[in-house]
Amino acid sequence: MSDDNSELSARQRDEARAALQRDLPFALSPSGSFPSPEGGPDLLATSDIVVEAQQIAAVARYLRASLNYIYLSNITAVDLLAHGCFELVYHFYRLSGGPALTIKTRLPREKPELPSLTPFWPGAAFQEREAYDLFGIVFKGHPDLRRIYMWDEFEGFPMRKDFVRQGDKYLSE
Amino acid sequence: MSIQIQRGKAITVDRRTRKTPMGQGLLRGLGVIWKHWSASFQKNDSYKKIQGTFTIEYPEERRQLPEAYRNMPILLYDEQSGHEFCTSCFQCERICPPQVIHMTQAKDPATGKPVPAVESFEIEYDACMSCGLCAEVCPFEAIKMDHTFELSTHDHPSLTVDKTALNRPTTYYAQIAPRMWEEVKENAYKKLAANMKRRSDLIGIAPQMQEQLREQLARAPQAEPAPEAVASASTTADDKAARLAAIRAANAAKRANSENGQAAQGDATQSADDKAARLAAIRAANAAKRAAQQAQASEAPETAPSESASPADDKAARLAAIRAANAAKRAAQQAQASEAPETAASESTSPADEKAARLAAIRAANAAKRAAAAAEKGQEE
Amino acid sequence: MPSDDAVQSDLEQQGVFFSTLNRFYNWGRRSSVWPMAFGLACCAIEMMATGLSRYDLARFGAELFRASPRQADLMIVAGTVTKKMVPQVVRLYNQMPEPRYVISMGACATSGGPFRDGYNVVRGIDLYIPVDVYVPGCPPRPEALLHALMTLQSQIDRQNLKQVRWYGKKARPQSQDFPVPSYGPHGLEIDGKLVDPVGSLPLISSYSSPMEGEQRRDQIEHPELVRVFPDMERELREETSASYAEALEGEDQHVRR
Repeated sequence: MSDDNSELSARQRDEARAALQRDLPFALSPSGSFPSPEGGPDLLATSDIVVEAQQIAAVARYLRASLNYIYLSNITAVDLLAHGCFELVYHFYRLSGGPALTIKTRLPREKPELPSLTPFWPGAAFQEREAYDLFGIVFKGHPDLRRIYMWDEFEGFPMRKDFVRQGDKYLSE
Repeated sequence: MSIQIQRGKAITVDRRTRKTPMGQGLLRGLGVIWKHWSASFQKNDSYKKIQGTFTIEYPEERRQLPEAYRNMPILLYDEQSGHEFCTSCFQCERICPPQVIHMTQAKDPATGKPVPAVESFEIEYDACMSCGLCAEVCPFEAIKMDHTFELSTHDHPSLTVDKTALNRPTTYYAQIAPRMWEEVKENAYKKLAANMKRRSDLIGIAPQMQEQLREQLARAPQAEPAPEAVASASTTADDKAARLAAIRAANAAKRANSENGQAAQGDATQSADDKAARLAAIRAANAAKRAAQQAQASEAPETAPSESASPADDKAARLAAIRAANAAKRAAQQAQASEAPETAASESTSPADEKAARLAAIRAANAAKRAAAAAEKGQEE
Repeated sequence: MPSDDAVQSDLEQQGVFFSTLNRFYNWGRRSSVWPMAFGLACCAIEMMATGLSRYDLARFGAELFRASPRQADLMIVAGTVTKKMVPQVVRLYNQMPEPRYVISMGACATSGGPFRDGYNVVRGIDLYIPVDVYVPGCPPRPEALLHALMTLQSQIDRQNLKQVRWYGKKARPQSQDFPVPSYGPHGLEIDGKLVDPVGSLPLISSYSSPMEGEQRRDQIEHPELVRVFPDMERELREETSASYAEALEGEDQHVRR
């Protein structure tokens, strides 16, 4: 990334954070902390905006309505086994250009549930189905939450770090 | 060529083509078809032409592949020495994305230590994705990407190829990728020379050349030292032998001297001293003989690039060698003479025998020392 | 053209008329192999390139790609076959009338390729249908696919009318349907028995081509009679089978719907 781009994305981030602080302050204080195990790297450290998982719908609507981020490009999940949480990543773009705005939320691994964006943002449908299929994250309010890569009868969530695998022998266990 | 003329609200485009009032358009169209069809019987070899067939009629015609084309990996070995470049450093196995490379390191059968050579090497061609990362990362230029792509077969297990099938001589690679090989050739051979020293016996020899080299190894001890052998190298070897003989003789003499006062010492040791002295004498004689032979051989005109250039060196070396040989011969004779009254398991050794043995040993030691000194001097000059 | 010794043996055994008939029959078949293009992924692009003007498949009589399996002779499986797609592949193969052939094009169709350790890619379609020619490569050059077609043509030339399955009497089975796997909770299953678990090695061994080897019956073999993988995988397999056994204990840790 060029310097211009990172500056721009930092500015966007700060602008969005300020706006959220002003209008949706309750969304910016995520409850539940996920400490890293002793000695391990802190994979949760980030400069992106972290929001409360249950408020993600409100945050998304706000971003679309007020800050003009009308293009939801990506919904992904990351399984952080060591921290005991799933981290969901949302990428928003403005159609006028500029780098992505990254919003992150965290969910406990035992109960990964959060509101779905699909009722008011249809483009999120497949992305959320993918996160459900591969990680087991349940999006409440999704009209059609079923598997998309694996077949429906399959049990298990393949992209979880504790899913049984034939893997690269050089990755540590 | 079109010309636009504005006429009121309409624009007339005049394409300057011939008018066809009587329906010659059909004929003109047929003309275009005829032109293209007849041109299709010629080969189109240039990107500038648009007509003609540019089909490459495989298998009779083939496309010339660029040097850096990568299809499947192969291993290289040096035809001259028979040694494989691979040292089983595992870098290619580590980096291979689909993990299709499997190898085991060769171990020295005597010591059990790992040797920089590879014992078994397998690549699963059926899952290889031709990325070429193994060839990029290899520090010894051992694994390279081949150009052969005609690998289709009905036999699935035969797509796991082992070292024998993967080996190619460097001449093959130089032929398919000459410029790439030129760049890395020297480095590769340097590293191979370093690794060859650590490989004993037939470890690291390509299976294609095992038989050949086994015969060579079998023949080697009986062969005369090669005339191209550098004179200085051989003198150092004889140097060493002479010095060793000298040391042994000196030790024997010392032991004889020290045990002089201990008459109670077993006579076995004294006969051992005799033996040691004789052995030292024989060794010195052999060393001297070899030095003499070397000196004679190095005279021969075959050694054009010999390193001991000055004839003075040769002379000095020869002289020392001859002196050592004479001394050794005398020592041997005396040892034999002193041995004659002794039986194999004799225990009664006369002091005269002892003395003779010691003298022989000392003479041998001196001769050897002189030969060594002369050789060293010759080298320095 | 068939090899000389094949011709010789034909002549010796069957007489000139039959061997000539055989040659003519095989020549007709091998010069007009109509593929059912089963292009799944990147290898499909190379297959298209083979069909276009530069490396012309029409010179081999095979330019007529049939969309329907009922009209095709050859199924070129070009691309990665996911476990979700396998029942469809087998169904289409069953719908092809004999004589039918399969070319497994590319690393993914032959052995799973770079994705064979993944959770959804089958480790080679020869676990489910018999393959006549394998083409390694990622993707194989168009010329490599042409060479595979030539290999197939030489196989066709060697087929003997008296011994082919579709005319055979005696013990040779008539055209058989290959078992279509179904979707199970832990992987693909045939008749309720797990044959291809997700995240582990397959529990069945591969078919070999009917021309070159024995047809495998649709039995599930004992898990130990698996194709031998190199040592590295054996360690991993022991590891995963331990954790797999745990997973199969029946833990209900997720929420469905």
